[in-house]
Amino acid sequence: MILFYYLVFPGFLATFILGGIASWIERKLTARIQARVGPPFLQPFYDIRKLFIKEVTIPENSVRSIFMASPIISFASVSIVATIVGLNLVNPNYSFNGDLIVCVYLLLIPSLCLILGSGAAGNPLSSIGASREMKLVLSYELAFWTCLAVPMIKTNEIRLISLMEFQAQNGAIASSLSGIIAFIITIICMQAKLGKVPFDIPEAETELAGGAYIEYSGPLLGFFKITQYMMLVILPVFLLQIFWGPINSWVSILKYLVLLVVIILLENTNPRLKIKQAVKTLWFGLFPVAVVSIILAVLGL
Amino acid sequence: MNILLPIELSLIAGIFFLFLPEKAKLFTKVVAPLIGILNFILSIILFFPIGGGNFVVPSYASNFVLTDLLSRFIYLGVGFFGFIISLYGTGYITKNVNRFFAYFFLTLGSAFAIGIADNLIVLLVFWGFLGMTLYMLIQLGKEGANLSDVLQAGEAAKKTLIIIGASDCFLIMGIGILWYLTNSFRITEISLITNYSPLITFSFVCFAIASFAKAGNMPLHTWIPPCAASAPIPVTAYLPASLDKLLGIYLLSRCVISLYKVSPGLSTFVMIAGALTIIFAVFMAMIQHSGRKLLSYHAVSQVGYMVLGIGTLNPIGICGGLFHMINNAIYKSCLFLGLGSVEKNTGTDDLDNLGGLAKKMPLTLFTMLTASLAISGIPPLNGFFSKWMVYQGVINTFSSRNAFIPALCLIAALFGSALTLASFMKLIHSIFLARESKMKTSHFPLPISHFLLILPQLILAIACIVLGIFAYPIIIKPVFQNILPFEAGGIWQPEWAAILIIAGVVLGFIIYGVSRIKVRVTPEFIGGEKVTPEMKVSGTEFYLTIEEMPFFGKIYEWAKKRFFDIYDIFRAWVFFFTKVFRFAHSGSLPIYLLWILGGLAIILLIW
Repeated sequence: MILFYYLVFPGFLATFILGGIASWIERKLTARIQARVGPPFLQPFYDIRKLFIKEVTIPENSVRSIFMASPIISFASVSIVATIVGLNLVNPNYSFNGDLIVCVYLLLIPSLCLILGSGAAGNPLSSIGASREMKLVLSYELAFWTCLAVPMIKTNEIRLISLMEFQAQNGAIASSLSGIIAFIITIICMQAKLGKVPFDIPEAETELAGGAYIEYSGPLLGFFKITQYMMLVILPVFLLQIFWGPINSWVSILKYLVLLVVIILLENTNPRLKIKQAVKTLWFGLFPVAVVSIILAVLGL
Repeated sequence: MNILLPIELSLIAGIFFLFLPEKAKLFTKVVAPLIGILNFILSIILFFPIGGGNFVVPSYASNFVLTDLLSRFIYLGVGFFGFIISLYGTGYITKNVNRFFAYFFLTLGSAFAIGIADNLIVLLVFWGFLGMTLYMLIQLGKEGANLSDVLQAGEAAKKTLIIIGASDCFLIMGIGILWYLTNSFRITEISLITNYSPLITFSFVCFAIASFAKAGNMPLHTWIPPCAASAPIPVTAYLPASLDKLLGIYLLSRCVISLYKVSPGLSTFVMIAGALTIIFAVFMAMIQHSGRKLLSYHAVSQVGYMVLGIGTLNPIGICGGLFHMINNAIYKSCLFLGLGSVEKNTGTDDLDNLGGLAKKMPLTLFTMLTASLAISGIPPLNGFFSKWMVYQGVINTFSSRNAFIPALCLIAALFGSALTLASFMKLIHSIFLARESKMKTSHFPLPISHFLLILPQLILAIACIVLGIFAYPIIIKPVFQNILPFEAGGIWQPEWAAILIIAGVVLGFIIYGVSRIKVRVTPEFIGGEKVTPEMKVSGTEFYLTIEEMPFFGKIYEWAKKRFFDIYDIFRAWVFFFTKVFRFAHSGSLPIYLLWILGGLAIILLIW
């Protein structure tokens, strides 16, 4: 049973398909903003299929084991988060579950795999990409955790299911002053976690030619792409569960779409930051605001 | 079986090796690991069954021995690390073998004794003795050291002795106050409530200082980096990385569990000390260029988690702190041992010059990578489990007091774990993944010593995985639930998560296999140029951005000038005050004679 949850629904397969659709919405909307036609509905899946029939090239100076294992582990760990987040919606009483801290730590693994994998490629550009990815993780992690402390202070709970119950009784956490500040900052951090513009610094097509992904090709790149699609679903739903619950009706889909549109708009209206700017913005700009939200939460606002 | 047997065995072995001539080095190398294994087996036998333990306490020692589960657990831990390091030391140490093992076993014996001491005076005696053997062990210096290394080792040993010794004074003071208040030296008999009088609070602070100095919590951590930089690697892995942590944190947890009922205000101070340690030490670790120093700052930073957990005063926090203590000892000694084999192979721990060792040392890559991920708290490894418990302990304090400071401590701990990951990505990248630099790598002289170097690391790395995945059945339920029962507020099922990750990886490989892809090896692509050695990106440059930022730049500059080193601060004060006496101490004989005569005259006058 657990394998079904993990591999099919709500784990890997379901999230992958939803992620593909979300990715299509993203690309279509972006195209419309730029006055283009945009891809057909199945384009994200065509992309994946194509990656899985292309040959793999492996750089000669790479550390092969790490280079090849990273994408697969990244995709396996994201599937666990998908299972946990999804099970909280469809079958919250099932014996396998996880809490907020577990989920955020598991969501760190894809970044970690990218850093290790691209560091193992033996290419200077991908090493620079790896270092940027690590710095990006550092920069958003501080503000992200600070914001996540707000629901913890309000509820003294870290179980996702208890957080949702709390919100079902007392209204969404984002409806309070501290909650809304924390939620907005978390959305910006989410943009960085997804690696979307303005935080696509590790890939930086124009200067690093794909940076962290430069040496990846074929199915290995495919696994990273699948991970990205899945993250596009998991992260917003995860944040909704924490800040904008309860998620039990069809209205929740609208909530998700709102978040998705916010992501797309941020992506299309901002230029890429330099890594130094990103660290500065997140540490010296957003973190103090997040601390203010904690103070407000302690005061009960 | 007699519970004192491992103590006696180790002390006798220590004294025996001390007087054995250096010529009998081969004999030592055969016997020492055997004694290490024997001690470990004895401590296992004494530990089980968990309910009571299978041991006899001799009648003369019955008032001095504490045999509850926590003590026996520390006993087992000491035995385990003694075993691991005795194996590694046999393969690693090539000169001063007898002296090394003499001090090694004396240390081991006193560590055993501290673990089960019920009488505070016994604890104090062995505590002080441990400081002395640590001093002797650091003085052994690096393998193949030149004169400056020897001097450096002497300096580091002196610093360690002064800091540890000064903190022992506080321990004496604390014990004295306890005697004054309760007329008892027995841990099991004393129980005081700290908010009743300032004296009790002060005695608690004395104990806390002693345990902070031993474990290396800020601001008393400054002996660890120089010690790690100049002592032999097995010594660093043995004392600062494992035994000192076990004992320091053991003392702190004893204080919190049985000696004192700590008030919430004081506990907040302990938590702040822990949180500051986590953040500052890890920021220092990130900018290091020497592998030993990088690891030593992490040895400091991880103490913060234990102190934070114990400072929360609730059962899950304390158990989390204790579990983190064991976990930290495991992965930190694994990292030090791994670095030791890297150093043995290449002759340096300078991260700028290392690189490309992944193909030459795949097993060390595996052990160091596992330990790095464990220390960064990547699930499902053991570091994550104990950190997760500590976090819950902190969250549980939110409801009972003003949540602001605990929340900041929590954020420091959570963010500290990302910073830890960052500095270990740097370490792994520079040693193993970066392009090879042009340096000669020697090969291990003998396969047996290679085996002895790699085996302890493998045991420790596997322990990281097993303790992470099977934490509940192996250690949480049998041990910690019996020390202090607790209820977890969160949910984490590492067994299932591990199965799912494996299932996911298998699925990935199936998809990969089904697609039947051709694999082609190509040169790296950097826009059509050739990759030259100058383009090597070593991990050491990873965080220059952060180092150069305005605010951090200043702090780092101060830290490099050792503005925050309590040892230097105190030394400056001491020299300031003794300036006057220095005039009197001129070295000329007539002046000394004058002093003596003057003193005599004063004594006679008073009489």
